[in-house]
Amino acid sequence: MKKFNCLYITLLFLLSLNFQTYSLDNHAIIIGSKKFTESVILGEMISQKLNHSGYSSMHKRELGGTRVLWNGLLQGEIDIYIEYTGTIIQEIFAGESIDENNLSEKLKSFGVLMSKPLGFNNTYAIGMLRKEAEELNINSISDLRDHLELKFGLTNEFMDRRDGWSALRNKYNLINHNAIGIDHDIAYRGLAEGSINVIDLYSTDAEIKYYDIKKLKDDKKHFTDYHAVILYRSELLEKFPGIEQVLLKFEGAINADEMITLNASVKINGSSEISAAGNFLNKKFTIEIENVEKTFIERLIKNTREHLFLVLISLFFAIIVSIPLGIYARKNEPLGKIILGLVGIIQTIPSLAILVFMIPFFGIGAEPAIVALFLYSLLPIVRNTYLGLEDIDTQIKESAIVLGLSKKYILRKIELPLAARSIIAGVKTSAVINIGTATLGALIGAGGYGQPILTGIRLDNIQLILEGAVPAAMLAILAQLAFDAIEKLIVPKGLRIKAQ
Amino acid sequence: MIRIENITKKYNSLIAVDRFSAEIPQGSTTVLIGQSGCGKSTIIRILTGLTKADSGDSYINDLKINDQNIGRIRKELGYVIQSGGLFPHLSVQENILMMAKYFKWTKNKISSRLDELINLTNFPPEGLNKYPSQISGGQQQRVSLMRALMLNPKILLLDEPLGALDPLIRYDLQEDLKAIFAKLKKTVLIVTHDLSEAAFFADQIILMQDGRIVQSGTAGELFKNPKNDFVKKFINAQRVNYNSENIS
Ligand SMILES: Nc1ncnc2c1ncn2[C@@H]1O[C@H](COP(=O)(O)OP(=O)(O)OP(=O)(O)O)[C@@H](O)[C@H]1O
Ligand SMILES: [Mg+2]
Repeated sequence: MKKFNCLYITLLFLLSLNFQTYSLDNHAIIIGSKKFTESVILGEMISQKLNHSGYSSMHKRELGGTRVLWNGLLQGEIDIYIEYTGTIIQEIFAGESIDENNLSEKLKSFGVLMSKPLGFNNTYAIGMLRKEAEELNINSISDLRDHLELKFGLTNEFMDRRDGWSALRNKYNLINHNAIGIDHDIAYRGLAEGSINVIDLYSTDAEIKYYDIKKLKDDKKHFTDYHAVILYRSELLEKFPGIEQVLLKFEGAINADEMITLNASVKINGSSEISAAGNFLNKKFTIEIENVEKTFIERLIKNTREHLFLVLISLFFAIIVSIPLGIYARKNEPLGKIILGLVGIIQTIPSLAILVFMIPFFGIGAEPAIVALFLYSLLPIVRNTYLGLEDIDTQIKESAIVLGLSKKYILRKIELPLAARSIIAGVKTSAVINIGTATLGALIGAGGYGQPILTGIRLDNIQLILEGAVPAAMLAILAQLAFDAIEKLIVPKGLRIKAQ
Repeated sequence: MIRIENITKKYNSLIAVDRFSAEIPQGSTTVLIGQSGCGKSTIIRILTGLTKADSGDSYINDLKINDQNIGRIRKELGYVIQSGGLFPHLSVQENILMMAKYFKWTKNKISSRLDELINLTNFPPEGLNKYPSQISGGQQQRVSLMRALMLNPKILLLDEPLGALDPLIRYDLQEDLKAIFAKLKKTVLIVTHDLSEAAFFADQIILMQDGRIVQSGTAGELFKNPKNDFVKKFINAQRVNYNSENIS
């Protein structure tokens, strides 16, 4: 009974760590964004506008890709996110005969509403330095045909796409032109240096402005449109009457140049998505958005709280499941090997895959991450419990049996203390793996130290990456020290003497 | 009293114990002796319930050894092995008191019993708070014996209790053990490799070969009338003079 209370209190403590976030979750409108800059800025903009209009909204930023957000929207894990018409048609409803005309109807059947386009089309485009294009008098893609001297540097993705290089080449009769595959960032640099002349780009790329690039007119209408639209759950209108008016203010409100400027202010000038979005709202709607940007310390505290929540809850459950499971495996021999095998198989699944597998069952956010981390933490503890028990000298166990002690008593007073060192080592391993793996949780909206790492990778910002990586590493070291101390407390003195 | 009736134990094709019968009267000491692998430990283990015989029955104080009775029987057994089998994570005192704690004896009863045992086994009290790894092999065996004697069992099963000890320590312990057996009037089955040790302890010696009894009787009988060449050779190999004072 005393032990049970102890577990209960521990659990309550762990849950309280994240209580604040949870209480927010329940009342807020959740806005999701994909893990690229433009999506984060737009998500932030909508969130700030809603908050300014008196709604309580929360922006879950940088959630994996299209599937994660679409499923999240259907399941009500998120209420609103920005999508592109081309993506909806080609990815979400791939293989169905859907076009811009019947798209709204189709979405409605899923309980999802779509705004009109926000005003820009983020599609593929072909571009050149403006200076060079003007010198050669090139305005459209068709104009490239006679310029065999121009070198094309195209992203590998564009080379492989169905609507990519080979389709473009046929359509515009660019048969005699050659293209090399190249990384997107390097392509811009190559263009600036003059080693390549023509590149593919997204039509709202931040670099368009920075390098002064001219987007060539797609005069034969080769590229599909990718108009940015707001997707939101129709349910939202019942819960929050009037919200639609706020959302629809964004229709036609952002043109391509404005989007490019916004992207550039984050990716090139290094301002945050939060302030970029806020400044834009100030100008566009002449509303005063208070600066909601968090300080470094606030971010650190928030990330630490979220990270600890993921690690401690998953580890807590892993411990109370794995130790009995390890004992059971050891005491039920043929079955025991099977249990060890199964738990071992879980460990071979890449951690990212486990995280994504959990989404259909638990949605996005902390829950799927905790379940994934829990599964990931099982093996070291189960195996070390099993091995710790297996390692005990047979003669010691037999002496205990012949003394007439019950099985339960032998387990509690003799076997578990003798296996304690091995079990604690297993828990320690789990904890350290767990702390590292939890950084991936940010991909599915669980927050934690992974959040700044993710943003830092996206923006190529080392400082942000370190803001997540350094505390994660320190937490891992701290966990090691903590377990060394716990080992001193729990491992019986008699065994430590022997080890000296 | 221990009674063993026609016990056989096989490990796959290997016959570890072959139609073995013996009786050890109340209060007497019997020594099992024979070459390594002849089945001595297997006999002891069958009596503790750690190993099950394939056929035949054994009785401890007229209680047949089976799954139902084994709990009751173990309270009547004290079991000591060559390595001592002490719990390394518990202090010497905790080892000795294991069963008293298990049955939740009172403090007074525990401490008077502890005093009795350390006097009986000549164990220095300052060693009580040490851990098994911190005391000598001979002291470990005294602790193991105290732990086995805690509930005052009528029967002692000792599997080479002195096998790992230096000659001088071994000599002291032999003397002490024999005195203890006599004083407590225990029924003792003890295994040894050593013929002179056997002769020193035994009311009855059972000499085994390949799981079978070759000859049993007093030490004198074995030395004077060895039943066959194996017995003769076994005695000569250990160079024990049958006129030696050890022989009763
Ligand atoms: N669990 C087991 N599995 C297989 N064979 C066993 C097992 N236990 C004992 N044996 C075999 O049974 C035979 C008798 O073993 P036992 O331990 O009784 O011999 P012993 O007379 O005590 O030998 P020693 O003097 O070396 O202790 C040996 O050949 C041994 O290898
Ligand atoms: Mg043996």
